[in-house]
Amino acid sequence: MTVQAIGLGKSYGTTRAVDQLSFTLEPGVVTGFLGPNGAGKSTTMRLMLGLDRGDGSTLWDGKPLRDRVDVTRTVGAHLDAKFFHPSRTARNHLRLLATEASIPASRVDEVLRLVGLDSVARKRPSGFSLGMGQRLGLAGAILAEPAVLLLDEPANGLDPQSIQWLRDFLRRYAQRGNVVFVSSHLLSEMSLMAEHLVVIAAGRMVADESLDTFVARSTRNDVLVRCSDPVALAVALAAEGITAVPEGADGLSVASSDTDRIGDIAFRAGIGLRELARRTASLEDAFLELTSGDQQFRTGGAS
Amino acid sequence: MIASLRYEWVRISTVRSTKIFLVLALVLSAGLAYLIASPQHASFDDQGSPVGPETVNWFGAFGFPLTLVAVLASVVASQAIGQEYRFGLIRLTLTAFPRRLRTLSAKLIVVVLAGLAFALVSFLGSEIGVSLRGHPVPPEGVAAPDSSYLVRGAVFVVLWGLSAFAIAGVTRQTAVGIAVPIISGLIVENLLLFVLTNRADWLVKILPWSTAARWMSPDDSSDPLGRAVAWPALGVFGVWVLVFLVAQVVTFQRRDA
Repeated sequence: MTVQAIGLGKSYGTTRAVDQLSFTLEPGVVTGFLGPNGAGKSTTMRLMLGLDRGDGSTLWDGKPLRDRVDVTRTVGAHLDAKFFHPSRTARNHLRLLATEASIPASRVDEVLRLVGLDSVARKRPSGFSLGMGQRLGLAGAILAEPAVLLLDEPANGLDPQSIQWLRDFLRRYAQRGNVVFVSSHLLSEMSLMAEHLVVIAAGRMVADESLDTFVARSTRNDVLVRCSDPVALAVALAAEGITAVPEGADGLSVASSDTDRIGDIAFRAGIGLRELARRTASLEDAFLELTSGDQQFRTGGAS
Repeated sequence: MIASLRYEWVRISTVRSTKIFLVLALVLSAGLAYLIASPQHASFDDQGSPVGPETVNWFGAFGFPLTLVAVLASVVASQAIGQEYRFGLIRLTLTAFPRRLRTLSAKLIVVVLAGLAFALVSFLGSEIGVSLRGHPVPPEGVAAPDSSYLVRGAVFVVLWGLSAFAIAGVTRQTAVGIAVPIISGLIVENLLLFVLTNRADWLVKILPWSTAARWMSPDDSSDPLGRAVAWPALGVFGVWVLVFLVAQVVTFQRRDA
């Protein structure tokens, strides 16, 4: 199954929260959904599910969700860790969600075991921690083994072991030919989990590409050169069409990833090298660079 | 539709408060009926001595508890939609059942069935109450409600519940759905009745909840309201409920979940 979001848009008064977002989610890979706070990630997910009224449409294997007969087996969504009735037991909460696809009670118990909530299955979730709420939400999403998983910040409140479990689970789930679409602001997690990224800022599309391509686009992919004569090396590099800017007392930041070529140029110019190191931007670097200026709720900075 | 109804059934039956309110309806009806069915003299002479045989207020034993049970039914009805918004469950519901009109229809059907269940439980409780008083059947010569009275009572409970359901749906607040019919029926409309009677009688006759309360008008020609009042009063209330429900359908369809 593929999921096509076409021209999604949503306004709150005069504020355009989501503006003409179009992307396609492919099966077999985990697609990360990134954006600063207030970028419109949750709104986009709600628009995709038809929960919010707005512009555009989302097609699930070519059909709007409301026209599909097997909705629960098409998409499982986890939008918030607190979406449950406090006096309905965890097991009954899942029994409720199981009704649309007539899922047997044995599957409910199986999923509770899978997410590690079997020991509290008959407890009311009013006392659940945020992490337990996330697990219950995830259990609800995967209950019918849907072709598409839509998860909004599922790692929030999880301990490191649980995050690792979630990461492995989602990768395995996608590898079985399913679509997995996960929003998160935990960039380190996303870099380990996602293979494809949809990045938005201020409701607009910033990137829709593979994680590697996204990171490679960052200007922070460079080579650090420390040498005996940085000025002379900068001139020699410029003669070869390579840009370099000073960094520190004896260093240059060279806009290239070809260390062999830089070494050859320095050798021919008779400049002794002290360090030659390729620096690769992290997802965090690339994300911050591409979304800078678009953060809706910016902090005041360190005092 | 069947799946939506099954969903609503699991939803309503797995919440503790539904069972609590049903038990409360039974106990309340039995207790009130027991108290109301106490044999009393209907008239007294100038010296205050009772005249004639003792009588039992059979209408009150069945009618008054049902009026209170309607409030309990309205709590369950309001929760059917209000709690979905309060706890964010509406997003899970509409993800699984994206056809909103169908989802709302399933909720409406379950609210109607719940209203009927509460009315039946109330009748059962009243029967238990009068039986405990030693009157499992109306005593000789005592006017008793007929099947039409009981049907009117059930319709009243269902309509009261639906009004609460619709208001809770429009406002997305369980408490508002419960409170508006009570406050309006007991306070606001009573003040309006006081002000408008003899000034604008036509307006008095179309106030929603106070008009609905006339369902209890006994099938007794000695009552000034009489049989002819009860069904039309429920009809007026039914139109109001329809207006509330239309508002709910429109807002449910158009607004974000």
